[in-house]
Amino acid sequence: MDDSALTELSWDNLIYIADFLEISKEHKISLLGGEPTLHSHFVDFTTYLLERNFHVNVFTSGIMSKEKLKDLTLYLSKIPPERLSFTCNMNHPKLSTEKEIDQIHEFLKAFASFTTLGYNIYQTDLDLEFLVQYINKYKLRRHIRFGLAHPIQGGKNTYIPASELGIMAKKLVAYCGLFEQNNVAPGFDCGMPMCIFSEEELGKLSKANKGVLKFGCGPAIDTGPDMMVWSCFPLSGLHKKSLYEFNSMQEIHDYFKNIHNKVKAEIGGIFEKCVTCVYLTNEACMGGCIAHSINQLKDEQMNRIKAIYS
Amino acid sequence: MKDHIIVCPFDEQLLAKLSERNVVIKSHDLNILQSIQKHLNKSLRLHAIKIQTDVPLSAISFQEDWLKLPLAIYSPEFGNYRDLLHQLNLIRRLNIRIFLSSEYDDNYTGLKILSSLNINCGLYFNNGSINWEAMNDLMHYAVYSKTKHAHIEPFDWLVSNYEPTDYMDYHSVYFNNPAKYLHVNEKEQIALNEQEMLNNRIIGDGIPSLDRIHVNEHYNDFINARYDIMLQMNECAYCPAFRICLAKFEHLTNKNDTCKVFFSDFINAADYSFKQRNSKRTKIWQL
Amino acid sequence: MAVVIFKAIEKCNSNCIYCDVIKKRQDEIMNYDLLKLIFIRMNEYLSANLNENITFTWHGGEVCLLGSNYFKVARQLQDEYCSETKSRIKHLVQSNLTLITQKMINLFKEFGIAQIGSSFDPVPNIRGFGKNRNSQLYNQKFIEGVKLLNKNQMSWGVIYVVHRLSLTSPLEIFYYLTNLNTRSHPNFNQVKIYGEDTHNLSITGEEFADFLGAIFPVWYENIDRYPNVQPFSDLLRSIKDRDFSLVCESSGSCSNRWIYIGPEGETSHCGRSGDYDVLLYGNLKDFTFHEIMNNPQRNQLAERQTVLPELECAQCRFWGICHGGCPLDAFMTDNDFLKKSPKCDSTKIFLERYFEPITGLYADFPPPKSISVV
Repeated sequence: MDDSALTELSWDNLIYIADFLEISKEHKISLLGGEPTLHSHFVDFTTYLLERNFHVNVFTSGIMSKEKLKDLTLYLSKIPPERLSFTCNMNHPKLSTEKEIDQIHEFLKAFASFTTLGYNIYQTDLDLEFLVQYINKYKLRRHIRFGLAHPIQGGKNTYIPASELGIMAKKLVAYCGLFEQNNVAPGFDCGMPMCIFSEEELGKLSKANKGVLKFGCGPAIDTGPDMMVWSCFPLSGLHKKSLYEFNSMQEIHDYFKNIHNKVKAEIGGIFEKCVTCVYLTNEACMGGCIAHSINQLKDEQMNRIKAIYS
Repeated sequence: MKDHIIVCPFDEQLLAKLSERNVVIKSHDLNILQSIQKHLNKSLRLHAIKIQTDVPLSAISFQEDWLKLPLAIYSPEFGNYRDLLHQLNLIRRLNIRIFLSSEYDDNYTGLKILSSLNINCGLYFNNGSINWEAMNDLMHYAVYSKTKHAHIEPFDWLVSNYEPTDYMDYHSVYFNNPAKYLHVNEKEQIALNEQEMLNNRIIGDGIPSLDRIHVNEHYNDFINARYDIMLQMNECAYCPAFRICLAKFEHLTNKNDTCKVFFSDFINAADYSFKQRNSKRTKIWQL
Repeated sequence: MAVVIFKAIEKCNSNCIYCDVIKKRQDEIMNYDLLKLIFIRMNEYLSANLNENITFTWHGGEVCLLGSNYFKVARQLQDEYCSETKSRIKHLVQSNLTLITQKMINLFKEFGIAQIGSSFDPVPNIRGFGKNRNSQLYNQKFIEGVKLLNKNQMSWGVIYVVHRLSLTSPLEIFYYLTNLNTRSHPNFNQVKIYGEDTHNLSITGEEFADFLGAIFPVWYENIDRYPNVQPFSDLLRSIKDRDFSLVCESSGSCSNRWIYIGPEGETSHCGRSGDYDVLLYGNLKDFTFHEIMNNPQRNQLAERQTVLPELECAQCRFWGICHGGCPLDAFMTDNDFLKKSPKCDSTKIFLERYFEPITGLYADFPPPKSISVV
């Protein structure tokens, strides 16, 4: 990351982004990081966006100092939960320190009715009971946002290779009974391919999510503090452009969608069979994460269409 | 002729003599608003109340009692956003313009925040420094932003009233344009604007002399002051934006980096807005 | 419509560096008998031509040197001798504004005059009083005149004469003049110097075109701010709207419209011809307006409109907006009225180099195949 990406989003840029979204008739905004609550104006920014009638969702680890939590509680706890939400990304407690665990607990206590848990799947071994325990203990929102770790272009991170996704799928579905008993819906973030689940597994997952299951992959549109926009976190190094070059969110979406389409036309999906898959054609499934697909070509000569390369 | 609005302190005797004129009451003390409230039912033709405070905006305790008062609050600093937060709803209900000083960089952002939260506001210049780039950015926001937002002065006043072939004096926003406002003190001394009053440059005495102001030599000299600039043949006389600035920053030495750039952009913005206004007018057939 | 350039006086209080009038008669002021005759002649002409109007331009020298009483007498004479026709006489005034008074303005208003034509130059020591051309004092007096006009809600506009010293700062001059008067905008004219150019002021047609070209893009981008800057506005209207109601030298129709009347009743074709004693049409004491307007010497000016399209201006796509230019310019250069004006180069260069590329419009007005004399 270069220095400009390390700086905080400024007030002026926040106002610009809020105006941009308003013109685009978008009324929802997510605050991410790093850890967004570390921003020196986090509370001010959040309350400002709420004043402007945005629904604000904050992606947080929940790990914060007492002072910070006190600040958040003072200004945010009385906001109606339909206007403000937190997605608290959890690691398994055995991977966190005691202090971190305490801080997370305090956060969850304070903002229970606002919070959905998130969990990033980066290995085939899954131990998810703690999530349900937290939901029950703190009376959190009864939904878990499962994300798949995807290869970050230009970076080195841990993720499940495509060939092992089926193993992960079985282990995830094994928890459906637990989710069902506790009235917890396991939802998917983008990049999950449909075919790693059997028909029966898809049925169980669909029931647990009231019939709504998504196997999407498309531009999510992230904006950095330096006002650069990119398609999504895994593709944050690819085809970045300045927000100032666009007139609306639709334009940004179309720009990145166009790139996605070109890549998908070239590659299809993360599996070879994606190319001929009817569900890819009818967009019931988007063939897994596009970053995965591009990553598979990293050892090739750069002879394919330009859109694949940054 | 009673076409001038009189800017004066809160002095009951003086106000009684000005009962047939529109007035702007000026003060440095917010507490005066209570007393003015009591006067509202009497024959007071109140155009506005100008309060110049020395506390940050966020430190002001806005009151429900002020709902009926036309307020212009001048504050040196924006202060803390979160301290203002709990008062935003009340402020939006008030008949108010909030002015922040050009001296502090945070104020330019503060004004964007206020405007984007639907609070009418403006920048004022108190002989302090100006961040010209920030002001240009603020002006662009005020004029070109496609989002709905409250007015930011003096930009909105100027572009709304702009006629390309007229001279514009944006000091009207601050009650300091002698073509529209005259300043009177407790001793009934008349000055052309606030600064002239502070510097004791009195051009007339007594309320009745307000009716003869158009034949007052000093008044006419001031109204025609732009011609002195033209005669001096200085930089301002050759500036493309002269008609909207009228050499208010004549004292600056590096105009090419400061006022000239800003006002050139500003007059372009005014032209743009003028074209927009005219193109929107629907020509309806006449009865 | 007949246009009268009336110079009751050629004396001037200013010593503008490019002015030729200063070199001529200084002491003559038209006497009241002759002044009376003018109104009688105008009345004759208007009574015989019921569809005609006269634009009567008070010129000089400096008209304010005539004094307010002169105008008072003129008003009385008009009332007496043009009682039925005065509504068809439109008065205009050209003045340097340095001597204008409230009394004079009151009299101008009685003539229905609502605006004054003038001239100004921010370049120092071009227009000024006395041998050294004290432009500081001149400018002060000019501004006092302007303030008085503003007080009386009278409008005013300036002709700007472009000379060698103007060439270094066209935009600055443009901004200055449009700041000085935001409502009536300058009319840029090329300096005309005949004879010895002792002050090295004359410029070529190309230099004039480039001067205009430096200003044109700014003007074109901001027409709302600077309406009616000449020659830009007329050219734009002509080429864009094909409205060829051009004035004076560009109209091609000056042959039977203009009369110059000098202090002794001598007449000529127009102000410049009067200054240079060219195209003399006789004295008003001896000839009626009608006779002067139909003096056979005018025929050669009309003849230009048939001769030039066959010869020098054949197939010139700018003919419709130039018409061969001013016949006097042609005569002064080539001693022949049937030549095109040397100024046509500056028009062509300006249009080709600046106007057309910037506006995207294309001047395409060659002379028609055959033209009959009007």
